[in-house]
Amino acid sequence: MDLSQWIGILVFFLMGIAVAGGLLSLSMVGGRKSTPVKDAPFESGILTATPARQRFSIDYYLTAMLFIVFDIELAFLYPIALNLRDDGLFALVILVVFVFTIVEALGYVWKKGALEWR
Amino acid sequence: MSGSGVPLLAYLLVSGAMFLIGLLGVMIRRNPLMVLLAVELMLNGANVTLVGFSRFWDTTDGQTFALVVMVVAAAEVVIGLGLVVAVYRQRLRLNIDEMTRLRG
Amino acid sequence: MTHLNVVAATPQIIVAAAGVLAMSMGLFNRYEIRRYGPSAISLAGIVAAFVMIVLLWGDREEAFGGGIRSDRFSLLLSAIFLVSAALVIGLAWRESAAVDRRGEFAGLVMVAVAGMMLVASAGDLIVLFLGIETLSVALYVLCALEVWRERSLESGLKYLITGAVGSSILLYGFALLFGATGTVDLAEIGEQLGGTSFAGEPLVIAAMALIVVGLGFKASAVPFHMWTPDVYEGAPTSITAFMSTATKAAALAAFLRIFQGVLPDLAGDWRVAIAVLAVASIVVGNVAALAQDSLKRMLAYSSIAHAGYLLIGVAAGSVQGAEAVIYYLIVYLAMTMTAFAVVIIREREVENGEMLEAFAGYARARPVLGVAATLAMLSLAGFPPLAGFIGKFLLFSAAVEANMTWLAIVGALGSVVSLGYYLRILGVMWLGTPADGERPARLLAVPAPVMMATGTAAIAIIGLALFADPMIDISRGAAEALLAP
Repeated sequence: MDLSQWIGILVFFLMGIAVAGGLLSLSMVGGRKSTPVKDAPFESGILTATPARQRFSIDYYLTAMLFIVFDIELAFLYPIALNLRDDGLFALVILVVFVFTIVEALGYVWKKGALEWR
Repeated sequence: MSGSGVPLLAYLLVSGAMFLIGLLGVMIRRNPLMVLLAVELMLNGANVTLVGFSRFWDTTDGQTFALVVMVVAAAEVVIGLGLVVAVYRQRLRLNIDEMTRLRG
Repeated sequence: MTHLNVVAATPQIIVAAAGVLAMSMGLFNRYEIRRYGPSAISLAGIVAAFVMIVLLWGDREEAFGGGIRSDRFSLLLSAIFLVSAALVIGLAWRESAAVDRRGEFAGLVMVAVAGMMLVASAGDLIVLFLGIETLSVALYVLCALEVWRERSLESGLKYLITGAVGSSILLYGFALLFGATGTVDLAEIGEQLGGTSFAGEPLVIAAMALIVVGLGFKASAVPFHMWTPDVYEGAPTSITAFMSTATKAAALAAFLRIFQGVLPDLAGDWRVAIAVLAVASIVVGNVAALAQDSLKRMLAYSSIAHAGYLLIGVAAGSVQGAEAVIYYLIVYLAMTMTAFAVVIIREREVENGEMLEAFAGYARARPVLGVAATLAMLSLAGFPPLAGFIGKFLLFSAAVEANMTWLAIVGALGSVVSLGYYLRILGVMWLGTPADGERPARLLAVPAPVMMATGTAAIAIIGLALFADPMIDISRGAAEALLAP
């Protein structure tokens, strides 16, 4: 196998190590002085209000789950949309059946009260 | 072989590694969430194989398959999460070794 | 989109639509609709799909450009799944999982059946995988449907984890098979791998090994059975009955479809692997069942052993073997449903109704049910002249024909061992004395749907023995359809 085409990746890799290693070793040279401001978590310059490690409510997972399900359906809608012009009525019928099923599922979730924040 | 760039062997190595890491994770990890994550890794390893072979044979069959698998995997994980939440609400500890109500 | 031919896929479409509708029925505020709507719609869907199966019966037709094929094999298997679903919906009439969540119960059973039908009628790997996952995902939820019971939740979670691992392994096998041939279409894969040029090819061997393992998980064959007793014990009993009949039939359908239908020329490579699974399942299932005190667990191990008997027919690798598997699946449905029906009836009456001691003297108190249970147990053990014996005889003689006499001997020995626990159940039911008093405690009236389902299954055990010849002919037609070009 001809390895010359990978030379760019090798250079990139070496540069990465050089930059990161250089910065790290520079910080060793000067010694450290810690101040309260330095120790605070970086929050784009805004003062931090609460600790970063808070626990999520278990309800969050329920909402996240529903989001995953409805989000992933897009994976099917996109190819159908691409082929809509070629396949015409057939694709449209499939699209309608598919969307109907999802809407039905949404109605089910709603009616079951899974969207309420308890 | 169609196209250029990444050879088939690279796809197969990466996907095999993903699959094996996932399998190891399932066997070693004890937290159900981690086990679900490992299963997801196994499925995606198989997905990479499908996509790699799809490129090799220059057909879209494998990619269609991978698309279906993604949706199926999402459904599976969502049900897994739902069950974990339900178990949590039942105040079971999140450790499958401690699930000893059933022998075996 | 060459040939749409939606008509050939109507049974699947009807069942899936009925499942979605049944699930929404459970949301209505009116009690009557919630109580009877889902079951009524599901049963209507089952009847409609059955009618379509009878109308479509005949040579192969393909729908959706070959993705779904309806031939005698897929139609007969679909009929098995539908009957199983109808019996389960009847049996679960008063079960707590099905009463409190009737919409989900009936809806998900129908969705699972739709998945199984897809497995039986798959024309390419994508549909096959989709079907297996549809039925698995529906069953994960069904197992955990009694969310107020820790055991039910645990059963669902365990089934999900092992089932997902099995699916991933299966999928990897499919991916390698696709890699070896460059197509997902089952017929084209068969053509590509026809002849012997592919024998010994590492990619194909690896693919077959992974597929055997993955399907082994789904069929609960030893050594991929660890989940079975726990899951079967924890799930609602009607779902356990559904899993051990319909899901097993679906897994065996996948086995037959892939190995017998697509890879017959590579039989030399896969026959031994499947035969080993069969022997291990028969030995472990039957021996472990001897030591159980819970009827549900005992039947779980018995179902592992039966996966072994059924795999004998697959390992034979002949039309005769496939015919035996299909006939035995029908018989197995009737006997297992009857056996679980007894557990379901007893469970409603007393706490821990699935334990063996709850059945002491039960057959004397309920003679009709006792006779049904006796029929089921003797048939499961393979007592002549019952249907179970005919099925086992067909399976074992297929193995002998295929020069695998040792397989038939192991199967026969396993049946002898199985007499140990089946007769123990019958002994307790007829001769045992309850711990407190003369008669078993608390006999409740059996609801009419449960009685009808139990009666149907019990009568079917006799019917399948009396009308064995026509049933075997139908099974042979289905087995031949597997290999038809």
